[in-house]
This record gives sequence, structure tokens and C-alpha cells, in this order.
Amino acid sequence: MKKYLKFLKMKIYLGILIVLGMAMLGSVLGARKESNEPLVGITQEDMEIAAGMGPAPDLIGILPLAAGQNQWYNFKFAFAFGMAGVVIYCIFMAVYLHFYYLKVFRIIRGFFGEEEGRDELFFNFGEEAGK
Amino acid sequence: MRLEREDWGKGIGGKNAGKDKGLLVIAVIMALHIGAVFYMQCHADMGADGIFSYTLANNPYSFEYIDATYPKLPNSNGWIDAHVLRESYIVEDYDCFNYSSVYFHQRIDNHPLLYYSLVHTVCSLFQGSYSDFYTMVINLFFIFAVDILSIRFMKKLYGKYSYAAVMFAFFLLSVVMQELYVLPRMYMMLAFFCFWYLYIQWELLNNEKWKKTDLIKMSVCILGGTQTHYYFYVYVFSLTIFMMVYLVYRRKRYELLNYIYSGIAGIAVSWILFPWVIWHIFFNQMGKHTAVAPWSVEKLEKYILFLNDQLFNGRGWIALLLVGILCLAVIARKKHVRKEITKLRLFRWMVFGSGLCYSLVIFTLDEAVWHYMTSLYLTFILWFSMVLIGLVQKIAGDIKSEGNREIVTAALPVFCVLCILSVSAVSGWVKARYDMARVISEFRGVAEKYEKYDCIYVEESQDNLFQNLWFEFGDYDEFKKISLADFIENGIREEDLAGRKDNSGLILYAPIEYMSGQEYQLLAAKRGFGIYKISDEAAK
Repeated sequence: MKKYLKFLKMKIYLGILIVLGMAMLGSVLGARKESNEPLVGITQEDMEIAAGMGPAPDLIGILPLAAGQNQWYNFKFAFAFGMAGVVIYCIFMAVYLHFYYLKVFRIIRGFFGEEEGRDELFFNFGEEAGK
Repeated sequence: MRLEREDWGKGIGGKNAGKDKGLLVIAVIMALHIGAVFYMQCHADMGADGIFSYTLANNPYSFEYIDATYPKLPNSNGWIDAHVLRESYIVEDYDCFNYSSVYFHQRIDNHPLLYYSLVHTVCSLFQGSYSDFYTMVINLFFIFAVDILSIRFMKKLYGKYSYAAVMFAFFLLSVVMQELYVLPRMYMMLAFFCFWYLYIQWELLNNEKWKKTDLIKMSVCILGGTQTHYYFYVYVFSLTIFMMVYLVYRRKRYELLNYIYSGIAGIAVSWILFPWVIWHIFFNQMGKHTAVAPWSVEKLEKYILFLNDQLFNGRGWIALLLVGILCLAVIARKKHVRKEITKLRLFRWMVFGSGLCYSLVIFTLDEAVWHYMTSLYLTFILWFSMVLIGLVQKIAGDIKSEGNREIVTAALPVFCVLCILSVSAVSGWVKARYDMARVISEFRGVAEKYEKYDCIYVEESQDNLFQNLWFEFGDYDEFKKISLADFIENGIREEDLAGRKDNSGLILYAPIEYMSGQEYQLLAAKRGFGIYKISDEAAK
């Protein structure tokens, strides 16, 4: 377990890439869902504010407000997909750890310039390149 | 030039370079530049661009173009509360720092978020009021950033702050740069991000050992640039291709992998924040570039003339002549022999290549639209400065005194730029701006003076921006528009005035050519449109 956690930390750059990629996918899918739905229009909240005394645009309740038209599916989906990305990363690393020292993967890492004593392909947090 | 070749191995511009008195001179020139820009921004004309910037940033309502919404506005015999127009471009207390409305407006418009968010932020700091400077201050900030970057760039490239004077000569004398300074859109910001990206590429090219911070800066730059304008993608692609070819050629696979990683990280965060970029670009939400003309001899001629106008103030032949003379001088002194390709030369080719690629792509799509070529201007200025400095360095290489050599290498290119661009082009532009600003100020002053009055607008043709008079109309108490045909046939009738809240005074905006025979007092005029005061008796 300790070795696995250390491996996760060592390959965190890959985790960031997976999470960002999944979150990006989620964001686009959320935006697509929102694009396919009709705009919200005048909301109940607008009517309540119009009936109240607080500061509000002159035509609240008459014209739809821009702020109320966003349903934020893109961020909701991005968060959900990002969390899925974390899970995918953990599972992928659990499997990869078993095959990490196979010759084929060592050759691939070597092809991309892995030097002796350095196991990772990308910059690791806390390290400078080439050190 | 031996100095150039030897010092690249040691890394010019590092901490070992020592104090540079040129920095003081450059700081003074930079202060003059900022002062000159500020003066020009005091005489900026907002026009349609300004209206779009303020309304897309601050409109609390969901409409993008008012014409479709106008019939739905509460009215009494066509009279609406002019405050509704004012609300569209001013931040009030109920929508201070409310970026949700900014987000929605950019979804339905065709631009990313960052610039309009900044406009909204500045306007929120001054809620309830309007000023041209709320957009100008954003330009000023990025002009300042470009100036700082130019100074650092020259220091990194040549180890001399003073060489930045060549770039400042362009900044002060290029007409297209002056246009960029006062344009109330995101293009000055775009210029900064493109320039910063170029700077980062030089740092990556020049340093054998890459730093994490450089790659993080690259991701941040890509995030900022992609959230500024979509043509940033075109510019980055043009430049990145060269960098990637270099990394592959040098078999720097590790660096290549990290380079790609940084790019992907920047774009991923950008698309997470604003995924509607997919619809804007790939689904062509605004229906742009549907009639792209193929390349022909005529188009090539237009392209060359366009570049001549924008890059050389129309005086490209002088640039060719001066560069030719410098090249002959270099050949005559037998300084033209090079034995190796230095990183500086390689970078110069990258800058040239990326600028050329970008300009060809954009001209293919949009032809002679000057602000779409924004990413080219600073790239060109840097490249041409490097060409001039490189040539003069070879000629001045035999000067024994380092101080004198530095002065000649800075001053001669500045003199060349002065000859190419000339002071008269910019001074003519500034004078025209100053004259127009006086007219605009007089015109705008009427609305400020008569703000308690009601306003009638004679609409010549359907226009979502009220023929760029939106900001004026928002200052009045009540507002009504009537068609030109109706005005020509009937003038202003008593029934047109009915429905107002009170019997305030009346101001009329109408085309001057249709006002003969009318006995209204002309208060101001601009571009064929006049502002008239209807007498108080007639107003009642």
C-alpha cells in the first residue's frame, strides 16, 4: 500500500492530466446539455425580487435576466467527471504498478529521455528538470 | 559578430551582466510612451466597439441586440424610460461583480470571457457611472506590461536594456499601434499574451535546462490568451509548430513531452472554464468565414499593400532601401560570414516564420481587417528590431569602446525606424483624433447638460447600436425613436409627444440633411447627425 501511494505521488503529473482531461470532457458535455435546453427565461426568483423592495434592474420580471440563464451544467459535469478522473487514475496506477518495471515500458521511458536514477517522464513537483 | 557567437554559450542577460545605464534611458522613454498613450486615450472615440464592450460586460438583461427586445420594453406611446438604456452599459449596485451575466453574454456572443470580465470588474469599482477610461485603463495596463516585456526581451536577447529603444520607436511611431492603444476591445490584451508567449518560447529555446516555472508560465499564458481571443490559437499554433520541430530535430523528447503537457494543461483549464469555445470555433456559432475568397494575384497584391500600410505606415520601400544599405555595409566590411546557426538567429527565423504563417491564415479568412492581425504587430516589431540590431552590430563591431558601440547599436536602428515610419504619419493621426475628440466631446456634452430632458431619435435605418449613440441616449430621462420616413412626412407632431411622464424639455437627434425648414436650435453636430433643442413651448 505504501509503495502504491508513493507511486501515485510519483506519477501525479499523469493524474493531473487525466483529471483535467476528464473535467474538460465533462465541461463540454455539460455545455452541450445546456445548449440543447431552452433558456430559463423569467424565473420565480425574479418575480419575487420584483415584488420586493430590494435593488434590482428596472425591468426585472419583465425581461429575463442574463445571470439567471446559466444553469452551470458545465461546471457540475466538470466536477463529476473530474472526480471520475481521480478514480480512473487510481485504478490505472494500481494496474500499471504491476507492469511498471517490464522491459517494454522501460524501453518506452528510455526513448523519451529517462535518465538513470529518474523514473518519471515529466517534471515532478519539488524537482527541477535534469536533477 | 564574435561577441554574439561567444556569449551565447554563456547565456547573455543573466545576473552576471552587471548594471546597465541604458535602463535609465529606457525607463524615461517608457514613461514618455505611457504618457503619450494616456494622452491619446483621453481623445478616444468609443464607437461601436465601445458600445459592445460595455454592454456585453454590464447588461443585466439577457438580450444581446436590442432591436428584437425593443417592442417588449414598457412604453407609453413609444416613450421608454432611458434608464433602461443606461442600465445596459453601467454597473449598478444590484449587479456589482456579478460575472454570471458576463458569462451568459459571452456564451451567446463569439468571444471568450477574460476581457469582458475585466471590463465588468473595472465598472463595478465605479458603480453607477460611465467613463471611456474604464476600458482604456485595461489597455493602458497591458501596454505597460508589453513595455516591461520588451525591455526584458532585449536584455535577454542582447544583454542590453538600451536596445529596447528600437522597439519603443515602433511603439511611438507606428500608426497601427496607436489604433491598438485606443481601441476599446480585447486586442491590446491579445497582443500582450502573444508577445508573452513569444518571450516564453525564447526562454525555453535559450535555456538548456528547463525550469518548471517556465512551463507553468506557458500554461498560464495559454489560459489567459485563449480566454482573450480565439485568434490566439492560430498564433500559438504558428509558433509552436516551429518549436516542436526544433525539439524533435534536437531529439529533446523529454522536453517535447513536457512542452506538450504544458500546452494541454493550459487549454484544458481554459475549456473547463468556458467550454462554449467549441461552439464558437468548431460549430461556427456566428456564421463567420463562410465566404472565404481563394488566393489570387489580386488577393496577394492586397496582402502586400495591407502589410505595407500596417507595418510600415505605407513606407515599406524606405524600409527595403535602408535594410539594403545596411546589408551592403555589412558585406563591404566583410562581416557577413557566419559559421554556425546561433540560437538568436534560429529564434529570429521562428519569429519571422510564425508571423508570416499567422498573417497568411488570417488574411485568407478575413483579408484586410486590421485588428484581426493584432498578433502579427508585436511579432513583426520584435523581428524587424532584431534584423536592424543584428545588421548594425556587425557594422559597429569594430568600435573599441563598449559604451560607444552600445550607443551606435541602439541609436542607428532607432534612426532607421524614424526614417521608415516618420513622425508625420503619427502626428497626422493624432491631430485627426484630437479634432474628432473635440467634436465628440461637444456632442456628448449636450446629453450631459440636458440630462433631465426627454429625447427623440430619428432612426435612419435599423441599427442595434442606435448609430453609435447609445451612451448619449442613456443620459436622458425618457427616450423615443421614430422612423426617418415618419419624420420626413410629419415632422414632430403633438401626438408624438403625448405619453411622457412630465413636460420636460425635448432634445431631438436627427440627420442634418432633413432638417432644413425646421426651426429647432442646433446644439451640436457630428458626422451628419445633429442635436436640436425643441423650444419649451413646442415641447409642452
